[in-house]
Amino acid sequence: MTQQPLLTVDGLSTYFYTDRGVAKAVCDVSYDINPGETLGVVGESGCGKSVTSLSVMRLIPEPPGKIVSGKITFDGQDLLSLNERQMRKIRGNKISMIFQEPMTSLNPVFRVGDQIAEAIILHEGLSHKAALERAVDLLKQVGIPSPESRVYDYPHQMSGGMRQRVMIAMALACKPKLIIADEPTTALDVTIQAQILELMDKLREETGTAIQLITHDLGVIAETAQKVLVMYAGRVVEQADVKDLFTNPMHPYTRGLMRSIPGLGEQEERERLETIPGVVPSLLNLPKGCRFHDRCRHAMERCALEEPELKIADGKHPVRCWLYQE
Amino acid sequence: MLYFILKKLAQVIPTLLGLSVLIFLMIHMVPGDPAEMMLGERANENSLRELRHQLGLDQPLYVQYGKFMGRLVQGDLGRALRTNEKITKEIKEHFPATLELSMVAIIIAIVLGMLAGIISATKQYSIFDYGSMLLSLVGVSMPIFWLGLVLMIIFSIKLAWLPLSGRLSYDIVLEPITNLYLVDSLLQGNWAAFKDALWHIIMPAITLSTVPMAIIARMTRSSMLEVLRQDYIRTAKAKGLAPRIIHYKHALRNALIPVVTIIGLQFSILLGGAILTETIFAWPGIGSWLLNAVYARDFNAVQGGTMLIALVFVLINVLVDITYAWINPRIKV
Amino acid sequence: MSCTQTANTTTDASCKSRSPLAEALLRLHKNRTALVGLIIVAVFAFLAIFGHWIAPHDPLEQSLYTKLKPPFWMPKAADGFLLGTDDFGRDLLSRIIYGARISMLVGVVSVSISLVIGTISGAIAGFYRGWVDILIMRVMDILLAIPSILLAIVIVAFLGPSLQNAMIAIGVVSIPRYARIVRGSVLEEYSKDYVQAARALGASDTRLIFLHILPNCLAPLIVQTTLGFASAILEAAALSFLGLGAQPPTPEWGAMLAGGRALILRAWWVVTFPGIMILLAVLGFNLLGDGLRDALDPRLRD
Ligand SMILES: Nc1ncnc2c1ncn2[C@@H]1O[C@H](COP(=O)(O)OP(=O)(O)OP(=O)(O)O)[C@@H](O)[C@H]1O
Ligand code: SF4
Ligand SMILES: [Mg+2]
Repeated sequence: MTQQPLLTVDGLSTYFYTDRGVAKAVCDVSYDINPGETLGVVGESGCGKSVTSLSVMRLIPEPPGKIVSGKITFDGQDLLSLNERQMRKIRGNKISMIFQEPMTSLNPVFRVGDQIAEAIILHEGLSHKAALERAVDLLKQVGIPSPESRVYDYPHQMSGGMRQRVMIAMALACKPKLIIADEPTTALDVTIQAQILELMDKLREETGTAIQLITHDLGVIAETAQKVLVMYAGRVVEQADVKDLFTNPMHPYTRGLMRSIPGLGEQEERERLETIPGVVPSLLNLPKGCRFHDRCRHAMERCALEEPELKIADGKHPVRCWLYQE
Repeated sequence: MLYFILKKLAQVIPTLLGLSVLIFLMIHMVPGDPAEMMLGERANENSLRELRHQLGLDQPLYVQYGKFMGRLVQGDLGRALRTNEKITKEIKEHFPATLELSMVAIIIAIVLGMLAGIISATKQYSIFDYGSMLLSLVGVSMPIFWLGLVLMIIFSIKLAWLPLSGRLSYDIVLEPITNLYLVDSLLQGNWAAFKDALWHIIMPAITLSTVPMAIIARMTRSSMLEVLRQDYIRTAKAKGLAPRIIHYKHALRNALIPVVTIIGLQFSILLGGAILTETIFAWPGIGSWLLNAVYARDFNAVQGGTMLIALVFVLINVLVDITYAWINPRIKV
Repeated sequence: MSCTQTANTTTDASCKSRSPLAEALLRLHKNRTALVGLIIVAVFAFLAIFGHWIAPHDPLEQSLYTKLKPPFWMPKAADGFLLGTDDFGRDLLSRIIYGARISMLVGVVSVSISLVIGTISGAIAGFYRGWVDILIMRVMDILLAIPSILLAIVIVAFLGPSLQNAMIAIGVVSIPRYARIVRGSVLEEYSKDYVQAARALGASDTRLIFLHILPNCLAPLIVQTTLGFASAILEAAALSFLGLGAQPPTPEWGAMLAGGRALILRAWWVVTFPGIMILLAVLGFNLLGDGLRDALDPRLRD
């Protein structure tokens, strides 16, 4: 815990200014990632996980989006103060991303080898030939059979699992210090999901890159992450080491998520799976008080009036809930 | 690839065959006697009979069609009644002018149209975007025969910058090689002729390019906008690529796929528009030649010219299909 | 997918349930260019119907004394001839107003020809398939293999130059557009359950086609009809310009341009104003057609 974190996000807020109002997609989010560590980010759809990671990459479409406040420090550099040009030297080089949709994330008109080689040529100045050789190595590393011929494939000649391997190879291409994987397995079959997660974990051990793994599946977190960030409606609601979180989940939302994973809920509830009733509130029109209160089974009078802070209270880790605060 | 090309070519044969039947029937089915229509009502019986015989009109239809096709596959379109020249020879004389005009026009349309479309898409909602899209709206609705006249009034009559009509000034001598004057003058290093030919072609080419340019600009813009929303563009950004490379390499290559199809369709507008443009600017091409044949009721020439234009048009579309397959790896060739 | 879950990314309109018609009207209203198109078309329709009340002169009335008078803002303009006169001393303004009637007529007649024949042949092709389909669509391919203005010229060449024949020719050349639309949606609808069910209940073929299948391709047909007006007006003007359509002294815009061609050195206004009318009329129908496409069928957006 004494080492310098690789990435520190401090008080990040990202809003979208739309025709119908301001969508506060990310509100005052803070976290850090150490070198070689996997941070899991969980939460239901639309709670701001992707916007958080795109903010780190400075890839928020602007307009309508804007990073309104916060500080992002990566490897000693203040990312928000860099200009576009300097930022491009970081993207795909020191931080790379893997996206949710392997079927559409690769450019259909270029060969996969060239798409992998592109970043290598750009950031490391290799010749096309050398870069393509590296691409073959990378494909081998991510477990694609007969990589020598596969580099010449077009994306449409590959299955979804293979394409996601290609995306991983592309992310690894310039030996980044951080890989942000935004739901890398959601679109894949269950068996392929396990393979991809295993592969990412193996590569993390081999190369020492840190991973920010975004998912809405706590099961995935349990298997791969060291630290967890639970998000709800643009806010961090609970933050803990993986063991802590699973032995002592505190926020009602976290507990709700756990009850919805097979075999992970509390004893008495293990028998049947539950989903949290209700839906994530509109970001344009957030409820007063705790953002979770209209879905929370422990909601009190106070919850509808005041929003709790993210505080270390009874337990060992920060949580945003009145149950644990005065 | 060769197989693909051959297959495409084979597919157009029935269309061309059907077309020949259609045009053939049109000549022979119209009310009245073609020979009489050609010679006028007061022609004497002898010359009528002779013309009917010359046209083969005294034989059964299918025999006539057989003969017509027999000659057609040998590249013989018969003789023009007006001049008694071989139609193929006349076409050969007039075709280069149309080819040159259409080529310059389509190049202008593609280059300017795509450029405007790309810039509009990458700078959506900018002044440039609004301006160029407004212009292209007007462009697609433009009666080019009027635009040609207006350009003439402004640039030839009021400003006297450009010659009024024709392909070349009378005092310029140019050895014909390809009969594409811009090419010939360059080959011979004849700068005076090149400049003169260029000055002559500017107005007709711009006139002819207007509608295709507007359509290409609109199509490129919407196709680019669609592509720029795609996930792989986000991937390209995440790689750290510069916007220039993202737009012109990753996006454009994909955006081109529908645009190529549209460009293929533009040749229809272009070949049709050539008739109007050539008439206005006294451009001695196939279009004005065909129109004169229409005026002279020279059905032989109309039939031949129409077949030729249809053939060119169909072949261009085969070319477009091939280009399409080439830029879109998802099509198996 | 529920509303609130996606409320941030979708529009309100898709959440509240409005009738499809209200939706379409709303989208049409939002689309300002379409509104401009509608206004232009309305103005031309008005001119076409009430032109004889508005036009200050008889469009055919000649006068040697008022030959080639320029429009009102120029020196030597003649009183009462706002946009000047042509070489026969006819009032240009009155002529272009009467031109609206002819162009609208061309639009109505030739679009009706292609709409009726195209719809019927497309429906037959899609409904009966097999060799009927192949035959019909082959003929359509052949028609499409020649640039439409050239085909129209050839047809008029054989029929003889006149406005009536020009309308026929223009009608014929755009048949394939309608046939393709109708055939496409017939093929699509035919396979759907409700058609098969109606069929099993013993509905006759014509009943099926008219009551169940055709209403489903109404939206693209309306769009195509509107755009068809634009191209019909343009092509008719082109044919008349070439001397193959309306014949002088008919006040048809294209024919007026042809007559004015020889005068471009002396009287630019004689060619300028009829051309502007063609451009505006075509633009109006194109704008309206584009707007209708966005409003009626979002899938069809280019
Ligand atoms: N381009 C945009 N324009 C407007 N609002 C946006 C935009 N992108 C994101 N948002 C807003 O940000 C919110 C959070 O989106 P985000 O993609 O971060 O959710 P997520 O947690 O990644 O969900 P998922 O699990 O579905 O990927 C969305 O609900 C949306 O309101
Ligand atoms: S603050 Fe109240 S409503 Fe919010 S999670 Fe805690 S108990 Fe539930
Ligand atoms: Mg996401």
